[in-house]
Amino acid sequence: MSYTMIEKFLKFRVPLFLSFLFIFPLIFPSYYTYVFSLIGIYCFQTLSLNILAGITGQLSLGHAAIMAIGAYTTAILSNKFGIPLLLLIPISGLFTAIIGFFIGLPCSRMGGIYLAIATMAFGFAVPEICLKWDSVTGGYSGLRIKQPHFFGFVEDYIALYYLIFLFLILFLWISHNLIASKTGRAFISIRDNEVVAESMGVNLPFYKVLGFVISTFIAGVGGCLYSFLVGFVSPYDFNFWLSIYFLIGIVVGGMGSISGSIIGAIFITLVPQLTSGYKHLPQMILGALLIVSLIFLPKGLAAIPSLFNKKR
Amino acid sequence: MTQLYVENLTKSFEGLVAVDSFNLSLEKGTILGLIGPNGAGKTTIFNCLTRFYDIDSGKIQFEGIDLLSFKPYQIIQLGIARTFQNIELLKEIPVIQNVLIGNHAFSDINFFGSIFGTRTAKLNEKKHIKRAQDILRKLGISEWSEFNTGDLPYGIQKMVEIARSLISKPKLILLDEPTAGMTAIEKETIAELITRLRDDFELSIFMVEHDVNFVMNFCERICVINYGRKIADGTPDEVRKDPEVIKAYIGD
Repeated sequence: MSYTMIEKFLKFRVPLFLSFLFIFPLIFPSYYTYVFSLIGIYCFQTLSLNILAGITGQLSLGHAAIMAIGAYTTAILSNKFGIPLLLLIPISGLFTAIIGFFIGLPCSRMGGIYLAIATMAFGFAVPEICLKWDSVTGGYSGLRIKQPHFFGFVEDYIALYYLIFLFLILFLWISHNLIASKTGRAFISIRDNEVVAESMGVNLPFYKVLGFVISTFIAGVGGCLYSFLVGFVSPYDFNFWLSIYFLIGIVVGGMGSISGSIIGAIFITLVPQLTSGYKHLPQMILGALLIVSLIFLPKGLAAIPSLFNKKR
Repeated sequence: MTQLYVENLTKSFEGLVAVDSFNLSLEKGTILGLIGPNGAGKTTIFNCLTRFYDIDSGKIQFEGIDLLSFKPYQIIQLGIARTFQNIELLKEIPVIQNVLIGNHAFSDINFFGSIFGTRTAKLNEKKHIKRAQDILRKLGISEWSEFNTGDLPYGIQKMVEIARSLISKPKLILLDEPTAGMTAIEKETIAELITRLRDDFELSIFMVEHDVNFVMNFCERICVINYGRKIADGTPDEVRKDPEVIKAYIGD
């Protein structure tokens, strides 16, 4: 491809991307639609982690657990009370955000390695709680969720696909606006230099907790959609490895970049899917990707276009 | 009118008294220089004024308001902005964004408005960006506004810090070594700039400086400290003749 073609592609990448997403389930078989839906759901998680770690500078090693809270909230409410999907999306988001608020309160006083350890502990605790709290979470056997029924003119998995991407695009757009807003600037100032942030009037604990709340809200919505897509939640689905995958995803994709979250989600979904026959192979591949990207592309794959058209 | 009033300010670090019973009253519109040998406690005084340090005892008032009842992030809202000795900027983002950070406490943009991209929020943001650009133009660095801040030369970065403090419409600016590492000509430019800003924005300037000659030529009032104690306070001429000052700088 010539240089101008690349430029043209970059210019129209968003409409191209959207129309591709729209046509995709209509022409490809259901398995691929499922994989794409999974990418969409992991994209909620990488986006969520990227807002927290990449924009606000608060590292979380327990993001799978936050996703688990959204997923379990949905599973329990859907099974016990039969609340419809469209209501469960905001409910799961809000409930997860409330939990995120209470995680954020102590975490806003910590930094660096301490924060990483605290969130990691949280990441280990939640699956254990789900395992032991039989009466609510179903323990070892997990919870099965009835697939939702939509209007009927497309098959349900296709409708769910569209729903996932509708919400994903909404959240990507909101995050894009967020980063460019006053709040986003405050987040970035906290990430890069807390002394500057504080002396310029940024209330550090408030914005750190806000970062947690926004991030966990998105993760909760993703978790909700996950439980409907997979139709089943169990404690083993939200282990520590998944949290690490999310982190690898945003580092390989691009810390603090929205397109980086998308690229990261594609990697962390496809690598395990393509190597599903081999135990531990996905971990090895993703680990190698992480190292390679840290050495050669510390700003992630999303930074490649900016290397081409570096302004000055 | 006394704008900044400091009485018996004392701050010690584990037994080392960094600032010892420091008194000061700053008239509105003055350019005050604070000088002293290395480790005399100059920056510590700044950090106490901006509430980065909790002080041991003393009183700090700004326009009659007790600063001690405010948190560090609230100081800028009262009208006190500062720059830092070692440049403290967000190096990964463009200059204009760095300047806008200084506007944080004064931007009234609604959170939900901005994330859903409403018209009012966009117009509001544009208004703030325009103000930031105006300030960059006043400082003569507007051509750098879209550059990545960390890539710029040292002198420009110093100016960006000043621009960032100006956007908060301060009444008092604390400049921590604004001319550190600059050539004589650059210092001249900074001196002219600071005087001009004082007149244009009706500011008071309180600056820490190392370069005694620069301060002598430029400040209207000079405060000299050594080992955390104030040893002289007055016009450049008075300070120059003060035996204590000569002793501190040259020795017996």
